[in-house]
Amino acid sequence: MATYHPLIAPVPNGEDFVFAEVKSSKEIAFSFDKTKKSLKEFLLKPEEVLMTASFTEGKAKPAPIDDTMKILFGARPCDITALELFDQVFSIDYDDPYYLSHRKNTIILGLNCLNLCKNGFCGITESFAPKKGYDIMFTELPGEKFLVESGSLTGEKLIHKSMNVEGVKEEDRIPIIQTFKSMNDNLSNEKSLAGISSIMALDHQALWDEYGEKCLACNLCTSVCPTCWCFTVHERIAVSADDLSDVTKTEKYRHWTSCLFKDYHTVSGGHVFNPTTASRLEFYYKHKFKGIPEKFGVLGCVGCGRCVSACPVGIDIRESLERLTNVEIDIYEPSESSESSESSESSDVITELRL
Amino acid sequence: MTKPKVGIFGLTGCAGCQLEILNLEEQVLNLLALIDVSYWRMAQELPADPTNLDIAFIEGSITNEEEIHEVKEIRENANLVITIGSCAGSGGVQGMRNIMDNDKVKAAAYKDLSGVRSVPVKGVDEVIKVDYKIRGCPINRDDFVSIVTSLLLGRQPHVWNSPVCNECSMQNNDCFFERTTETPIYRSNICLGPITEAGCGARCPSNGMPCDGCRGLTSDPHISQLVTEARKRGETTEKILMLAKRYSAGSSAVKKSFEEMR
Amino acid sequence: MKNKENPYIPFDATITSIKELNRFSKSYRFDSPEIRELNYEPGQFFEITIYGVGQSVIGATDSMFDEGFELAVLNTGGLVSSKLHQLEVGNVVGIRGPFGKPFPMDEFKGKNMLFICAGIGFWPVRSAIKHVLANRSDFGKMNVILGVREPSLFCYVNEVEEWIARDDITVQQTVDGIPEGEQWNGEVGLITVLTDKFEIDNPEDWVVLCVGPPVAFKFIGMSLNNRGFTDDQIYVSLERKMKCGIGKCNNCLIDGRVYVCQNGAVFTLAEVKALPGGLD
Ligand code: SF4
Ligand code: SF4
Ligand code: SF4
Ligand code: SF4
Ligand code: SF4
Ligand code: FES
Repeated sequence: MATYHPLIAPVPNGEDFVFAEVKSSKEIAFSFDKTKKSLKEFLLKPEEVLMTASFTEGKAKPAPIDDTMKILFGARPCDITALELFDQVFSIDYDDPYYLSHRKNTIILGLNCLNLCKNGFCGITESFAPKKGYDIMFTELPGEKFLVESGSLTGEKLIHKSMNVEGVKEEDRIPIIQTFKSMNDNLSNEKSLAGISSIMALDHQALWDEYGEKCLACNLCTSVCPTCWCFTVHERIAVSADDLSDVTKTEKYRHWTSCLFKDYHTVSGGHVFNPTTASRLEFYYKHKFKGIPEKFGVLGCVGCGRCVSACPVGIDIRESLERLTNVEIDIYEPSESSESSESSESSDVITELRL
Repeated sequence: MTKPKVGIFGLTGCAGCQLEILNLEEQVLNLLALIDVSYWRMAQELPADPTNLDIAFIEGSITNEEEIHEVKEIRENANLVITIGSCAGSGGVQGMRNIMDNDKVKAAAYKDLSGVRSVPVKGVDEVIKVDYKIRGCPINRDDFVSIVTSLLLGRQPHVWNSPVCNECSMQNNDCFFERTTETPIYRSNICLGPITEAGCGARCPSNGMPCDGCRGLTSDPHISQLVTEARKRGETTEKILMLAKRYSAGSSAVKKSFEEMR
Repeated sequence: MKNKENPYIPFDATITSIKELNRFSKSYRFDSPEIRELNYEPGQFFEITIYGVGQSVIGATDSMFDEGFELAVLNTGGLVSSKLHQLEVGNVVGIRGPFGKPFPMDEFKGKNMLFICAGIGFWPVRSAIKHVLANRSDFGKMNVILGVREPSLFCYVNEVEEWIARDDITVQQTVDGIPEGEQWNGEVGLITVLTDKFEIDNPEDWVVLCVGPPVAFKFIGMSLNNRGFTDDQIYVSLERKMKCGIGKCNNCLIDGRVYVCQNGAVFTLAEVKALPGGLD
């Protein structure tokens, strides 16, 4: 018996695209720039109950984890590269059962980019061609075809069960290889953030001060970022206006937070460790470009440019990186030629994947 | 658990917050089962005994001498004083009167000026010690319930200590303050989310409106940054400050931080 | 630790006794089957959950060689510590841990030990002191320096008196000042009045364990440097915001890269000085 799973895919939303559950392939936006927010909300929930207990007796029990299998289509290469980091974060030393369960139960179908997206700079962060992290990676080919690559056993099974696949002909690969090569050449040739870790150890006070004058500490940049995962943990009495039945039921829950908030740096007793916005911005950049590389061996930025689009006051990570590294980051205009041509056949395939 | 004795008092305001509590309908009965409401003018059938209270809830702001006297009396009669809504918390909308010329307002409001002993609008904590503020205009029912149950269990209520944007960005909202295109055409010139304390579930942005700041300032409001950005978008400083003060003009702390700004 | 399969879930522990340490602080003893199997070392810390209220990180005050398990709590007026101060014997709390790197007590074997405790920094150091006392022959000389703001704030006074009575420990105490109505015949002045002048022979034979507010580290460090100690002989313990204790939430990061919950909270003063913001 075939089991059908909820499908999450990019849909248009004003000028942008967001991930949402779709019922039919017609709803899916195949030619989307990238989704406005990263896919992290499906794996690290904005808010999640970790356990329940009794106010007087304790007896803590892990909260049930929603582990319905989902299919997520439209993960961009940068998003998938970011998962390489998240997978490490939530399994090193201690397993995080919540993230790992969501991750295991989300089939990731990636869609390669043929052009650089608005505000993106994945060439510099070398995150445009992940080798793993997805179950299937799609690449659009001329002539209403997709190149389909599996990145996991699940992916391989899916391909064989649900798609009409032919062996890949070498000439099909050529345009992709060429596209990647040109992206690669344009973007990363002599331009790389290799030395950034040691650059971050230097004093850039003027830059932080300048940004500190503008920054609202609103956290929009960190909330859209696929590589930010800070959360805070609280306890609460689990009542609402609609359910007052048991005032002794408690919950431990976590929700997203941000290193741009003063509260993030405030300890009990009131001392604030990074009191100025400038120092918090420095902390943010240091975590991304020094802390994360040192601990996890990857950059803490995948060049998706989402924070650039999100920031209300126009703080632009590309500009900061240019000023920090003297590496010039080009802004790419989408080329005319590659308007996506949706093939209804291949898109139907996606909604009918079965295990 | 002995039931705490509770009084609910209304000063000057729209009574919208008390209505919000009454609107809890059957839930209010559950809640009332946990407390002993001994004074509530708005729900009249209750016995009226405003003394020896465990908790006094005060709605509305202080606008005249009588109310100054009344809150002092409430304080003497209650263990905990909790304000409900932004009127009681920081003056509320009528605090705008402070910004305008008091005599003119009086003249416009009352024909015969003798006997009017109004004072500048004040939040309750300008006159007496307030133990806790339930924020919002009007308050949020869930917020009220969670704070009241917390207090009943002898637990201090939770505060977010972060801006409305924290909650807003956890939902699928379009940010009003985002720059939508390279040549700025903004969705809105100003959203007070970044300087307003969270806890409402980002009620307004989730319903298609920018945040109005009804919950009052965060503990770390980036006011000058917000004003700078809004000015870039063509707003005048006066207009922004007016907007930002709409709910908080009756709070001296807020007034001070805005004055420093200028 | 317990619950390795879900590291966020605490085990229940019942409060078996409560002692007043001074007017701001109390110590709590707990018991539960898990506690009887606990394995922890001086310098490690625990996270205590008051169900429905909040959680707070507290350094171990006791040593494994003691009976029971004790944590000391200062009432900062915050959500958790004020609620903790209202709890009674028989109440149930949740405990997670131990977390963090301990003081490397094994490396200290054969050394002379100097313990410097500023204010409530005494509590985590007490854990190490008890460890040394329980293995007294493994260590050389032992010196304890205690400093508090005012005489009435000294904690574990009877225990300290027992130490003073022993001839294999030197205990010195100082207060910042004597408020009206309090009695004190001992030393008056910041803790550095003692570190400036206590007797040492060869500084290189010593190890220093020093816990207190980070500002104190600066001055104590300077004083000890003048006496011939190097920064890598001095071990300190840092306090940061902690939400998970297991390197997941990032709240404890210093300089965007050092996890206090995992790389610490015990550091050498040399490590801390090399860390921008470490001494904040
Ligand atoms: S820092 Fe900005 S560009 Fe880099 S991954 Fe995060 S959102 Fe994308
Ligand atoms: S510390 Fe800041 S930059 Fe790093 S993950 Fe957290 S929010 Fe993102
Ligand atoms: S989005 Fe911009 S203004 Fe908001 S916290 Fe980030 S850098 Fe600051
Ligand atoms: S509260 Fe306003 S500024 Fe903040 S994220 Fe929401 S819409 Fe944007
Ligand atoms: S979004 Fe702003 S104005 Fe709306 S309820 Fe919340 S705090 Fe009040
Ligand atoms: S306390 Fe969460 S990472 Fe250290």
